[in-house]
Amino acid sequence: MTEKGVRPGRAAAAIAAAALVFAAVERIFLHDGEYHHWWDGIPLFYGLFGGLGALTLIFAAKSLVMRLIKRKESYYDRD
Amino acid sequence: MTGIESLHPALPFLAGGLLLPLLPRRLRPWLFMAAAGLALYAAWTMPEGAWGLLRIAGLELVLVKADALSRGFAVAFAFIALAGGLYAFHVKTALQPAAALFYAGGSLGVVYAGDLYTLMFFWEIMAVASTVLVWAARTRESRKAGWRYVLVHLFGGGLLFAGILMHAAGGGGTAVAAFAPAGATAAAWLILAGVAVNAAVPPLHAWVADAYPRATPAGSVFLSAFTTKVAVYVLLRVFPGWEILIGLGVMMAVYGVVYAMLADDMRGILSYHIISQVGYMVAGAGIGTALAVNGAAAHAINNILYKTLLFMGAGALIEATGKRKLSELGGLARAMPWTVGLYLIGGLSISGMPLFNGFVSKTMVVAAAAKAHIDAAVLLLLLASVGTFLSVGLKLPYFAWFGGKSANDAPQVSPVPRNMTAAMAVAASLCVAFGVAPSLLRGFLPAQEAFNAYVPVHIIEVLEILVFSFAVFWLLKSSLKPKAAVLLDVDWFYRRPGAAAGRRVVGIVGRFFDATDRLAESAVAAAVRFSRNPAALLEGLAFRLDSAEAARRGKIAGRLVARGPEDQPSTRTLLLWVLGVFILIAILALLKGSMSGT
Repeated sequence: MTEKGVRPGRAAAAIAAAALVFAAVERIFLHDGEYHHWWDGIPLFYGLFGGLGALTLIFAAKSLVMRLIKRKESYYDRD
Repeated sequence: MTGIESLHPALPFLAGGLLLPLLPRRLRPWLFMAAAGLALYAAWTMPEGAWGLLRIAGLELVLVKADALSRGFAVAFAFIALAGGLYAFHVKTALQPAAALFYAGGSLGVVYAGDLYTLMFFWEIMAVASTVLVWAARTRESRKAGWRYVLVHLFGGGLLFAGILMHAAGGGGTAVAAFAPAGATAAAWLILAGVAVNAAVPPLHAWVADAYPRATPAGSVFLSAFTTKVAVYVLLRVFPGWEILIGLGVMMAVYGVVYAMLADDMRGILSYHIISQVGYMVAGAGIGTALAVNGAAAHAINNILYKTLLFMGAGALIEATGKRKLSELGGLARAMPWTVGLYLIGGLSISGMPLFNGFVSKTMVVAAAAKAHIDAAVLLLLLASVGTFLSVGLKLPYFAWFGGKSANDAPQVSPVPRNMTAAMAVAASLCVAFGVAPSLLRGFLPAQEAFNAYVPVHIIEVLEILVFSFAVFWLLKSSLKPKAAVLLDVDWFYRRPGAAAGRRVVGIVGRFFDATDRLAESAVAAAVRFSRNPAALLEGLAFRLDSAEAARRGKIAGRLVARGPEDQPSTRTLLLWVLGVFILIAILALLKGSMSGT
């Protein structure tokens, strides 16, 4: 499933590095926000949300929705 | 204030639209720019207050009611018409720029309308002018899409007009003012439904992705800026705090991104993202707090800038290659570095990247939802921004300009007209300016509500989302590779079963009219014959036509059948639609009358 030319080891290292940087930044800068949510205590919540959200959208769109709504290009031609 | 206080900003556009076709070809773009420039000046210097009061046929009309909300939208519309005029400067035809001028004039007319009848009048000018803009591509598919577009907007206009008439008849007055959500009348719901059609609220949204990609490159730039944002303006003006709009807006935001993930046509992707981005504004109107309304207005103004920039980029690519589908493009980055660079500024703006304008206004809307403790809306709007980054910020530019293809595999490229690139640069510079210095927007927002998007919590939140969704895109980008296909949407209902049913109804009505025509022809022929020789009848002779007369009648009938063979069904459909709308209005008025009578 992963892209040709993407080295899994390097990709994992880059993602881990980004996670570490953001976790550190969160600890330094995020203390008391103006608004409170149930997810405030979860470290890297927005990173996880972005990654899992992207995965969910790609799979929901490509596997579920695409099967229902995709038709040949000529579908409406005889209108 | 009843006199004329200032130049109505719609006037230069409408006068320009009338005058432009009469001018020599080389002067037309200059007239367009002059009209837009004058309108921008008029909107910029418009004093607050109401003026231009007219009394026509017992109706009291207020042509101008100006305040901070109308100022922001009007300046943005006039500015983008000016930028669009620069983008289309090389177009010397008459129809498209004239339609664009009327379209912009209609939009400004709605923004300044102080009463619902004036609003309705300019609303319909927009509908007609935008339909002509779709048709201006002069292709078979743009002609057909234009018909579908005008039918949908006629339906929406009918709902709006029925609502306005009911509202006025029920003693609600005709002022364009906020309706209270509690105890809303049927009239208010009808007006909301009419506005929702233009705001592309599902299931009334399919016209956007059906019509916009089929216009010319410059035509779709104008289309992307006006109709949906004018509807947002009306929602903010008339329906703030209507909670149903929160759910609808959030649904729009997610719906649009899911379809955009699958679309192959560049302007199809961007059209679905109009729906998604307008979702933020609709949700903001629904939340209705000062921060939310400011956020929605700011997002509309920013959206006008970055969405136009994105359509300009896609249009430049179409102009250069003649291709509009991602599956046919790729490997063009070296050949058109300016276009790709400027497009990416639009891509980052719509994705909400800090230092670009979308970040500020999107953060305002999401923060307003958070402040109102609507966590589901917060999360779904953030999910929509993940999808926006995936398709407009990453998928579209990657497969259009890079896509792993070398320059040798890329399509042939002809030079992009310089005026197109210059217009993109103008829009892009404002996307950056409003991102770097959000205070520039302050004078264009309705409420005096301080908000700073550049605090650690918002910056970290967005950067985490963008970095990790980028990682997923990079790892799985081959699965997002676009494939040529038709995506079924709600338009299927009126393109397939609706069209078949329509053909049957049109056929029956058509046969009825043809039979009536034949009957009338026979009656006239009989009357002519009788008047020539009444004595023949008195003498009891049989009333028959001689062979020469029969042949003449045959010719008349032949001419009737041959009249507009291709356009006849569409014209009839349109007339039937108009008839249907008026029947609907009549029924509603009768119901209202009987209810108020009891």
